[in-house]
Amino acid sequence: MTVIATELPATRADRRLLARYLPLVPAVAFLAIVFVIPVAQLLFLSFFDNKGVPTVAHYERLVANTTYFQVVLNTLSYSAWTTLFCIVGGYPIAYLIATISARHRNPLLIWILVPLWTSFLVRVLAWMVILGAQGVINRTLLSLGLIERPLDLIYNFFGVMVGSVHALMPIAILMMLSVMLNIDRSLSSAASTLGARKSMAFWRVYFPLSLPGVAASGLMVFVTALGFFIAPQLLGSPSNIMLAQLIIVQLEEALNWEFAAALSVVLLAATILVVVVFDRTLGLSSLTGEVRAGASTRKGGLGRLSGDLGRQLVSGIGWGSVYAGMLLGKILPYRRRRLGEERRPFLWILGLIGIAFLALPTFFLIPISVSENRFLAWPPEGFTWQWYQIYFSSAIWVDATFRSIGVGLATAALSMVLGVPAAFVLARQRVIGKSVIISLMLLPMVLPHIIVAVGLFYLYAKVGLVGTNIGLIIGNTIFSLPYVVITVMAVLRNYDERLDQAAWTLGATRGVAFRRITLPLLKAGMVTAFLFAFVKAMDELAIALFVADAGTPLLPKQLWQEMSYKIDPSLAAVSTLILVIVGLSIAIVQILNSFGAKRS
Amino acid sequence: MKTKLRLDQVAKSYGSVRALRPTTLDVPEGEFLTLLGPSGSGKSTLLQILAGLTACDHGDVWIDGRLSTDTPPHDRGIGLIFQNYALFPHLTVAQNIAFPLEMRRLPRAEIDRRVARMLEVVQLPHVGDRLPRELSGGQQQRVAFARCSVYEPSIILMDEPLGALDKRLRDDMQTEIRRLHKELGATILYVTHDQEEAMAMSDRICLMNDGGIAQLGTPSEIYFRPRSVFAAEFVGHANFIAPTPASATSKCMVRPENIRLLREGEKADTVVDAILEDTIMLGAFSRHVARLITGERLVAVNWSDEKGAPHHPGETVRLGWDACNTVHLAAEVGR
Repeated sequence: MTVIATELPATRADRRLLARYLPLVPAVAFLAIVFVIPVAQLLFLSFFDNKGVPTVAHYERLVANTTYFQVVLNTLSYSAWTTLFCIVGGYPIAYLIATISARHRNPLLIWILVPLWTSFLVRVLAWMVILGAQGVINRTLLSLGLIERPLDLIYNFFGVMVGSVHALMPIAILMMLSVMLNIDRSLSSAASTLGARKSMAFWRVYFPLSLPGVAASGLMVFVTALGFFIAPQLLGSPSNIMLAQLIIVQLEEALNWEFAAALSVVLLAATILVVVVFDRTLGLSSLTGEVRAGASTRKGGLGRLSGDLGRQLVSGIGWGSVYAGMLLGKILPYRRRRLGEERRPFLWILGLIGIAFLALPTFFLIPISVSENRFLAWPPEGFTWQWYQIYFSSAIWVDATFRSIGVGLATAALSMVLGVPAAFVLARQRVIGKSVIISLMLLPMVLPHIIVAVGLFYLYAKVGLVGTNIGLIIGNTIFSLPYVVITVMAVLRNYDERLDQAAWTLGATRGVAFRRITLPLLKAGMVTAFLFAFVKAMDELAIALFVADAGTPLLPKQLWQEMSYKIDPSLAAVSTLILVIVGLSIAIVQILNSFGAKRS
Repeated sequence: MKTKLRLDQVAKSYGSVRALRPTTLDVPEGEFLTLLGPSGSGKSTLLQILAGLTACDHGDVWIDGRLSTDTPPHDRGIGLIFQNYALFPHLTVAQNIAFPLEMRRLPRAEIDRRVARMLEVVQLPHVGDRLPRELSGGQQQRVAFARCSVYEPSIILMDEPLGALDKRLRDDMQTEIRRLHKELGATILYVTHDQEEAMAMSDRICLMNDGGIAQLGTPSEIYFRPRSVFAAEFVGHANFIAPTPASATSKCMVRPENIRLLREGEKADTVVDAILEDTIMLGAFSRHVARLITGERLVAVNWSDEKGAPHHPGETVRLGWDACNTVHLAAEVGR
C-alpha cells in the first residue's frame, strides 16, 4: 500500500510535467535542427579550407586586408546611424500615438502598420521612384526652378539611410509604443499636481519610463541593420558596401564559401555582442514587453553612478525646456491659455511628417505602374495596362507569385502549428529556462537572415532539399515563428484566464472550454499572427536567394533580380499587386479586431 | 471662518454625458470635507476640476480667494492623492518624496532634511532607498501621503485613497489621516463611496448623486435629517412607512434603531402589527426583519437581550416608534 501511495503522486506529477513541456518540444526541436545546427556548422566551416583542412587563413585574410576591416566599420556606423534616425524620428510618433485618445489611435496606427507589412523590396522601389535622377523630388524641384541639375539623392549614403530608416522605423515605433502604452497616465497628472510643468513632467517621469522601449527598439533596429543588404545594395553606392553584401559577393561571385563563412562569423559575433550587452544591462525580456522599469537603480557601483548621471542629465534637460518654454512665452504674443486646451502643435507636425514619410512613398508606385514611360520617371505619362499585361503573360512572374503565395500560406500554417502551443506554455506556465527558450524563439528575428539562409543552404545541399518547396517552407518558418510567438503571447497576456476557470466550474470540459470560450476570444489575435507570418514569408529574400535554385522562382527573388539589373514599370505593377494583397490582409485584421472589440 | 475653496456654478459634460451639473460649494479653511456618493455621481470629476486636471465647461474655481479656473495644476499648490497612489515607479521612495521639493527648487540640504522628517512622520524611516513596488499597499499609501504633504500644501485632495486596502489597514489609515489632518491643519477634500468612512472622518459630508450635490451637512445631519429618499437610503438603512392620507405627497422614514419590538403593554406613538421573518444576532445588536400586513418589510435593530423571550420567525410581533424619530421626506420631483 505504501509503495502505491508514494508512487502514485510521483507518476501523476511526471505526467503533468510532461503535459506542461510537451507543447514546447516541436518548436524547440524545429529550431534546434534547422536553425541552431546550420548556424553552428557555418561557424565551424570558417575554420577549414576548401579541401577540408583546418586553418585560420580566412581570419588572417580578414585581419590582413584593411578593406575588410573598413567594411566592418562601415557596417557598424551604418547600423548606428540607422538606429539613431529611427529612434529620434520614431519617438515623437510613438509618443503622439500613445498619448492621443484611444479613438484617434487606430487611424494613426494603421499608417505605421501599412509600411511594416509592405515588402522591403517594394518600399525600396518606391524610393527609387522618389529619389532617382528623374524621380519625384528632382523633377518637382526642377520644374519649380529651384535647382538646375538633379540632386544626387540616390546611390549614396543618403539614399541608403532613407531606405533603411523607412524600412526599420515602423518596428521601432511599435516597440516604443508597447512600452509607452503601459505607462500609467496618472503618473503625469501626479507630477503636475506636485508642481511640475508639462515639459518637466515629461522629462522627469514619462521619458525615463519610456527608455526601456527606446532601448529595445534600438537593439532591434541596430541588429537588423547589421545584416541588412537590400537598401545598401539597391540604393547605395557600389564602392561603399556592407558586410552582408560582401558575404553575398563571396558566395555568388568568388564562390569562396569558407571565407563567406568567416565573414558570417564576424557578423554573428557583432550581433551577439550587441545582444549580450543589451541583455546584461536591460534584459531581453523587454523585447516581449515585459519591462523591468528602473532596474538600474537597484544596482550598486557603476550602475547606480550612471543612473544618477542620467537623472542629473534628464533633470537638466527638464529645467532647460521649462526655461525655454517660459522664454518663448515672453517673446511670443502672450495669450492666456484655457486649462485643458492642449494643442501640442509641434508634436503633431513632427508626428504627421513622420507618418507621411512612412506611409506615402509606396503610393507613388501606383501611377507609375500605368505610365507609358518605360523608365521609372516622374510624372507618369499617359495611361496603359501594358505593364500589367507583361506581368500576367510572363510565365516566370505568374509562377513566382503562385509559388510565393503557396509557400507563404504553408509557412504561416507551420508557424502556427509550432508557435501557438509554445506561446501558450510560455505565456501561462512556469517552466524552467523560460527566458532561454524565449530567447531561442526570438533569436531568428535578430540574427542576420543571410547567415541563417547560408547555413541552411549547406544543410540542404547535403539532404537534397535545395530548391524544394518543403525546404523553402522550413526556411521561412524560422523567421515567421518569432512573430507568431510574440503576437500570441501578447494576446494571451491580455486574456483573463479566469474566464476558462469559470467555464470549467460551469461544467465545461477542458476541450469544450477551449473551443467555446478561449478560441473565439483569441480568434482575432490568431488571425493577426497567421497573416503576420504569411506577409513575412512572402517578403523573405535571404531564404529565396539561397535556398531556391534557378528553377524555383519566388516573388522576392524575382523582384530583387529585376531591380538589380533592369528597372521598368512592370516592377511597379507587381508592387501594386503586392500592395493590394497587403492592404486586403490589413483590412481583414482591422475588421476582425473591431469585431472582437465590439464583442468584448 | 475664511473660505479656502469655492466652486461657483461649475459644470462638466463629456460629450452628451453630464458628469457634473452646475454645482456651487464653499469649503472653509481647515475643514475635512468628504464627497460621498455612488460611482458616477460626479465626485471624482469635481476633484479633478479642483486639481486642475480636468477643465470645467462652465463656472469658476476660487482657491484662497483667487480666481483659479485656468490655473494649471502645477501652479495651484494643491496636493492630490490618487486612487492608485501614482508613485513614480522608476524613483525610490525618497526620490518620490523629494520630487515636489525639487520642482520648487529648494536647496538640496533642505530637501534631504524635509524628506527624512516626512518619512518619520509617516513612520517609514527605513524605506527611503526602496522602490515603490517593493512596499506593501499600506506603505505605498503612506508614501503617497508623504509625497503629497511634504511641501505643505494648504489643500489636500484625496481620491478614494483607502479603496485598495483591507478592512483593518483601512481603519488604521483612517485614524492616521485624521491625525495628520489635525497636525498639518490642511483643508482636506476626501472622496469615497464608503458611507462609514465618510461618517468616521468628516467634519462635513457632501452627498453627491447624479452629477450634483444631494445634501451638504455634518455627518449627524445627513444621518438623522436626510432631505431626500436618496440621502436616506444611501447613508444607513431606511424604513419607509406608507404615507398617511393627509400627507400623500411625502414619505416617512424611520431608522432601524428607532423601531422597537414592543413587549406586552409597552407603548409607542405609532404601533403596527407584523409577522417576524428573521432575527439575526449581531452581538451587541439584534436585527429583526418583519413584514406588515400591507406587505412592506421593516427592519428593526435593537439591543440584544439575553433574558428576554426568544423570538421565532413566523410569530406576530408589535413594532413601535415615536413621532420624534420620524423624518418626513418630500416626494422626489423630476426624477
